Formats: sequence, structure tokens, C-alpha cells
Amino acid sequence: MHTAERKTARMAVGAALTALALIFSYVEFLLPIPMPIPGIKLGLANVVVIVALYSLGTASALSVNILRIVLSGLLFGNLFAILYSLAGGLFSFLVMWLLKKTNLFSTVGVSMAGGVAHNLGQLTVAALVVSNSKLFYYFPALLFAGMFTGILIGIVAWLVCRRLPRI
Amino acid sequence: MDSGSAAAQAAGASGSRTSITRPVSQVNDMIKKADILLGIVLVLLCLSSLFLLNLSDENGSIVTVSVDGRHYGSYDLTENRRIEIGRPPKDAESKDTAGNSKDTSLKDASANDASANDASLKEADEAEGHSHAYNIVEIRDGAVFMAESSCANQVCVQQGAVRRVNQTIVCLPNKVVVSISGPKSDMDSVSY
Repeated sequence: MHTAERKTARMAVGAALTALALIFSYVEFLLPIPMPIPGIKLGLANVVVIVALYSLGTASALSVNILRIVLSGLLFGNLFAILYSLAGGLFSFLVMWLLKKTNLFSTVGVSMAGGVAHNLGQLTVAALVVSNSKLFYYFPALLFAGMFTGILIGIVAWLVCRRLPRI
Repeated sequence: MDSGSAAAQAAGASGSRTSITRPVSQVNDMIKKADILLGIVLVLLCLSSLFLLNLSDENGSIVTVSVDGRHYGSYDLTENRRIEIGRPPKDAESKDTAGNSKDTSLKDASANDASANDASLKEADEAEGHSHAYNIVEIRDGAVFMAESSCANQVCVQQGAVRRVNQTIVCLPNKVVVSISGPKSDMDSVSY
């Protein structure tokens, strides 16, 4: 493909993925899947971020991630929701990007680490916001929840990625 | 395209290239060795943190409430009571008399403490632009739960009751943290 054409294709796919991530966020907002720990979500939108990371590359995936956090925060949440989401989303992205770079992990491992990182990022911001370190008693539960949801999301992302061409 | 060679090496085994011209590189086996190793490390980390944080089955005896990082009050877990933090809607309506009307929370906590903390809570609320923020913590039959909250997500209310040492209920939007400590309470030094 011609360079300019390829750039346009990537931009279009990036925009479509952002829209898809927003839909996932909205679905989770409307129909929260019950979880044993309060405040835990499956994080369906993260499927899109992982797919973007593997099919579009780091820069596009990062912009998809930031756009979906800011947009879904503005649409379904508030400024505080964006703050928490960014803390989780960006830390999670950093960890996933680093693990993917090693080429040792599959999407399942990458997503598992991302899920854990997401929860730890949010926990840290939450502890700072309420200025109370007792929140870290949630650490084991959130770590486990991050692993569990991350593995599920990673399996879905793997199933999607193997069927997608790299753009 | 950064690591097409690595992908090509393992592609034969996975058989993922069926009908599509070129699948995403690096997507081969669903689970690799490193994934399992990472999983084991995380599980160990989870278990060791459980051990270190001392999350025991022991029932607690003291309920500590803090608002915005400041100690709001400590209460006996065996004594049934309702703790009102902030202004419930019925009080908030009469804004003109807010200055001289006593808050209901004054009845619950010791007078000096509560008035100071209550004032700081109001300041914090007004600074954030939501002056109707309130929470009602209820202690009943040796357990504590968030009976009501003005927050949007209601995570704190849905959490239900907690009774064991070091369990917490957090209302993030209102910055209210309810935690339980044991009888030998030296936890206050840790809570900041």
C-alpha cells in the first residue's frame, strides 16, 4: 500500500476502534456485570486497546486509549472519573507496552499484567484522593480481580487479533 | 512489522494463518511460558500481600471514620448507632438557618471533635461545588455498613456490611473512609 493510503487506513481504523471502545464503555455503564468486589469492572474497552496495540502499533493504540477515556468520562462520568480512568489506563498501557516489547508474552499475559496495573493505578490515585493508606487493604483483592478480568480480556483479544490483518 | 521474523517462526505450529492474507504479527500461542510464570508471580504476590496486610478472620471492635484524610470519629462496633456525615437533604434545604442550626451528626460524635470536623467537611464540599454531600454510616449487630450516600455510583452502599479487622468501606466521591480495627488499636498511627 502507498504510504499516504496506509496512513489514512490506519487513521480510519483507529477512529473506528475508538468508537467501538466507547460503545463497550457504554454497554458496561448500562449493564454492569456483577462482581464480588465493589467497583470492579470487566473492562471490555480494554479489548479494543489491546487489539489496537497489536494491529496499529503503540502510538495509535495510545491515542485510542486516551481518546476513549476522555470521551467516555465526559459522556458517562465526570472529571473525577476521568482522573481515575487515566491513572489506571495510562499505567496499564505502559505495562502492556513494555511486556509486548519483550515478545515473551501473549495477549493473555499482556492483558493480565495490564489489568493488574490498571487496578493498582486506580488504587493509588484513590488512596491519594482520600489521603488514607488504609485503602491498600484492597490491594490483594484488586490484584486478583485485575488478573482475572485481564485474562478474560486477553483471551478475547487473542481471538480477535489472530483474525485481523496488520494494517 | 517490528518482529515479523519472530512471528513467522512460530506461525507454523499455531496454524492461525488460514484464510487471511497476513495476520497480526506476534499472535501465535494463546498462552506462552512467560504468561504462566507471570501468573504464578502475581498469585504469589497476592498471597504474600494477604499475609503481610494481616487480613484476619477476627471480628473487629472499633469503627473509625475519616473524611478527606481527617479523623472524623471512632465508634464502638458493638453499639448500634447511625453516624451522619455532612448534611442530609432535609437539613441542606434550609440554607439561611444553616449557621445556627445544629447538625445531627453532633449527637453522635464528641462535641468538640465533630464541630471542627464538620466545618472542615463543609468547606471541602463547598470548594468542590457539591454542598449536599452526605453519608450515613450505620453500625448494627456488630457490623458496619453505609446506609445512605449522596454519591452517584453508590458503590459504598452496595458493598454491604463489614465486620472483620482491617476491612474498609470507601466512598470515593465523598472521600469518606470507614475502617475497622481490632481491640488492641494501635492502628491510628498507620491510618494517615
